[in-house]
Amino acid sequence: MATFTAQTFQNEFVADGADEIHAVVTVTCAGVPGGAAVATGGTSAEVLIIDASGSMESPPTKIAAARRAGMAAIDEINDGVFFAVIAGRSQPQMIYPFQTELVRMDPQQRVNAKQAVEWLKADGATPLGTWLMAARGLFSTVMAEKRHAILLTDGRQEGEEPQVLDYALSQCQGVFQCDCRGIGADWEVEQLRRISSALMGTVDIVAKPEDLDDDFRQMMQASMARGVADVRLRVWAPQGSQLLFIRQVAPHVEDMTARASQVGPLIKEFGTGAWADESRDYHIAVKVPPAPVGNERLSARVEVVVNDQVQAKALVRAVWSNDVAMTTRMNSAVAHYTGQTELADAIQQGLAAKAAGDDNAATVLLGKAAKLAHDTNNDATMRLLKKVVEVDDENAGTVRLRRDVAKADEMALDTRSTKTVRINRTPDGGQP
Amino acid sequence: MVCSACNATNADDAMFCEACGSSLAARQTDDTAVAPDDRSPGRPQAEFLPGEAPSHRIGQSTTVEMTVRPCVACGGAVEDEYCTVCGAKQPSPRDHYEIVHSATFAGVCDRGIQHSANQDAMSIAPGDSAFSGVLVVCDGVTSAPLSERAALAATGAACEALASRFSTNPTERTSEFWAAALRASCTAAQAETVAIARTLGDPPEPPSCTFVAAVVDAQVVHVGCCGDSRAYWLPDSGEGQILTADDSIATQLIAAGTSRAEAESDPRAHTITRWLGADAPDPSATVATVKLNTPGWVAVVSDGMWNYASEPVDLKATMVVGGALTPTPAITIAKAMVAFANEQGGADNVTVALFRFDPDQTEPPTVTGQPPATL
Repeated sequence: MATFTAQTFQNEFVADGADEIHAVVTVTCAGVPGGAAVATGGTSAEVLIIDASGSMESPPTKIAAARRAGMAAIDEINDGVFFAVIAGRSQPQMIYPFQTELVRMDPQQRVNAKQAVEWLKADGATPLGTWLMAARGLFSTVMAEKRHAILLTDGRQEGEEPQVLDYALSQCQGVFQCDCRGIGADWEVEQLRRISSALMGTVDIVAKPEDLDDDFRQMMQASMARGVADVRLRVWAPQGSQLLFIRQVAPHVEDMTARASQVGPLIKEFGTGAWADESRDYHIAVKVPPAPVGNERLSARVEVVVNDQVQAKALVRAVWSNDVAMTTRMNSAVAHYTGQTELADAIQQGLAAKAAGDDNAATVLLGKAAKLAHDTNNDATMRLLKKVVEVDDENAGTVRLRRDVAKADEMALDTRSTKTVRINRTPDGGQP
Repeated sequence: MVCSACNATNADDAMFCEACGSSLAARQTDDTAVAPDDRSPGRPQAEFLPGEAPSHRIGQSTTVEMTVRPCVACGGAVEDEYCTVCGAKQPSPRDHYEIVHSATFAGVCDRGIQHSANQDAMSIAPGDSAFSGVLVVCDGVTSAPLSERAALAATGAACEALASRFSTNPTERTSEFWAAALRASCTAAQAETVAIARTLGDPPEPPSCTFVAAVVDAQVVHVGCCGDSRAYWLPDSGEGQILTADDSIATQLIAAGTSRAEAESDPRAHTITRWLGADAPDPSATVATVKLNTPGWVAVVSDGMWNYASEPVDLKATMVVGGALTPTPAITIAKAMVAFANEQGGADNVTVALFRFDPDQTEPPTVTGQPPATL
C-alpha cells in the first residue's frame, strides 16, 4: 500500500493583530504498486477521445498523427484495465469496442483496438461537451475505481450550444480525470484549460504532429503509474476563520478553492485525483481571528484522505509575537510559490491584452512575467517567454513585444504558464 | 525512559523529552504521584495536562484512560494539543510548573503572557534538614532557538550537584566549600548546554541560558550567578538586598554612575555579558556568601519577575498575600508573585523560587495548608 507524508513550510510567527496565515504543505506519495489494480483493490478505466472532425484532414498529417498516437497509447494500457476509444465527430462514435461499453485489455483486444484506430477517418464538427458526456456514459458501464480520459482536439467547441460544455463539465467533475491536448494552433487555450482544470488533468499544446505519439505514450504511462485513486485533502480551519484559498502550486498552479465540498461545520474537502509516486505542493491561506501576543492558534489542519482514511496530516500554526525579527521573515517556500502564481497570472493577462490589441498593457504584464521568471529561476517559462518578447533587462522587467510571433509559440507560453519549478529546500526552506 | 511520542531515549529522571519536548512525567506510573518529601531531588514535577497522555498505567496492569480536557479558551474538544473549534494551543506542562517541598520551600516557573514558550527553568531540592535547601533558576536566551532545553537541563544538573554536597559532614561545609560547590555546579550546568548544542549539530546560535543558584545551610546563604537571574534576601523586617550582581549592560551602566532605575530602562539593559552555552566566553559562577540573622525569605527569580520589582523593597511588596507575610505557604506567595508579574504584562517568562529562613525555629516546618490539589 502506498504511504503518504505531509509537511508544512511556513513562518508561524505573525505580528500582533495579523490575521492572514500562509503556508505551503508538501504532500508526498511513495510505494504505489504498478499494474492494472489500484492500491485500494479496485480497477481502473481509460477512454481515449480522439478528435476526428473534418479539420483533422487539413493537413492530413494531423489525422495520421492522431492514429499513431492512439495506437501508442493503447500499447501502454496495462492488461486488465477497462478501456475504449471514441472518435470525436458531430456525434461521437465508438471506434473500439464496437458496442457502447468498456472492455478489459488483453493481447487480442490490443491488436483489435489498434487495427480499429488505424482506420480512423476525419469528418464532422467539434462538440466537445457532447464528447465528454459520451465518455461519462462509457465509464458508467463498469465499476472502476480510477477513471481517466485523454482528449485530443485541433479546434474549438462547435456544433453544439456553448452551454453544453459547462453542463458536461459539471456532470463529469469527480467522475473521471481528463488530460487535454491541442494539436495545431486553431484550438483555444482557455477552453481546454477549463476542461483540464475541472477534470483534474493536464493541458498542453502539441505543435508538431510528429510529437503526438510520444506525448500520448507518456500520458498513458503516467496514468498507469497512478495507483492510488481519489486522494482528497481534508482541511480544517478554526471557528470564525475563512479559507482564503488553497491552490496546488507544484508541479503546476491550479486553484482548488472553488472545488470545496463542505464535510463538517469547520471542514472542507478537495479532490486531487489519482496519485503515482510523486510530490505535490499546496499553498494555503487562512484568515483567522487574531489571538493576543504570546498565544498560538492552529490555523489549519490539512489531512490526506484516501477512502475516508487519514493517511497523513500537516498543521498550519500561528503564533502571535512582538518580536519583529521573527514576524517579518517570509517563509521562502511561500514567497517562491507566491511569485510563481503571479508569474502565471502575468503571462495569461499579458497574452490576453496582446490579443485585445492593448500593446502597452501587454508589454507591462509580460515584462513583469520576465522579471518573475528570472527571480524564481523558472528557466522553462523564460525560454517560452523569449519567443514572444524581446527581453532587454530581466532584473527590471523591461521587454519589447516581438513582431511576427508564431501563434503556436504564444499558445505554448499560455498553456505552460502554470508550470512551476519546485523550490530548492536548502538552506532555509524548511522549518525546524 | 523512552518517550511515547517520538520513541527517543531519555535519562530515567527526565521530565521532558530532549528530542520532541513532550512531557515524560505525564506518562510515568502512578508512583510519581507521591508526597512532596519523596520527590526525586531537584527535578521539576508537573501536573497532567491535555493532549499529553491519552492513557497512563497505574501499578502493573490497570490502564486508566485519561479524559482529555476541553479547550481552555472555548471549551471545545482537543486534538493534537489544539482545540478542534477555535484552534487555541492548549497549555503544555512545560508552560507552567510548580514544585513544593514544604510549607516554607516552593517555586513556580511560568510562560508569562507575551512569549509563546517557557524558556525559564527551575529546580529546588532540600538539604539535609528542613533548615537547608538548594534553589536553581536558569533563563533560556530567547534569541537562541531551543534554549528552553538548555535551561531545563542546566537547572537539573546544577541542583543535583549541589544537593549531593549535603552528604558532606556539616562541620566541613564552610563558605569556601560552598563557593567551590557552586562553581562546580555551574560547570555541570554549562556541560549540559554544550551537550545539547552538540546533539543539535552545533548551530551558529547554540542554546544558551543564565544561571543562578542559592544554597541555604547553617544560617548562611551562598549564591552563584552567571547572567541576569537573581537571588534576593528579603527579611521580614529591615532592608533586603540583592545577593547577586547581574552580568548585564545595565550593571555596567550602574557601575559607571547611572541610577538603577535609569540603567534598567535602557534599551540595552537586558543584554547580558555572560551566560552559559556552547558559545559562552566565560561560563562561570560569581559567588557570594551572606550570613542570615533574622526571619525572612531567600528568593531566586528570573528577570521576568524582577523587571516588575527590581529593588528588594519592591520585590518584597509583591509577596504580601492577603495582608500577611507569614505563615502563608511558600507556594501561595510564589504564585501570587508570578500572578503580579503577569498582571503587569508578563513580557517575559516568570520564575520565582522561595525558601523561608527563621533562626528562631526549632521544629521543622509543618506541611499543612498545602500543597495545592494539582500536585
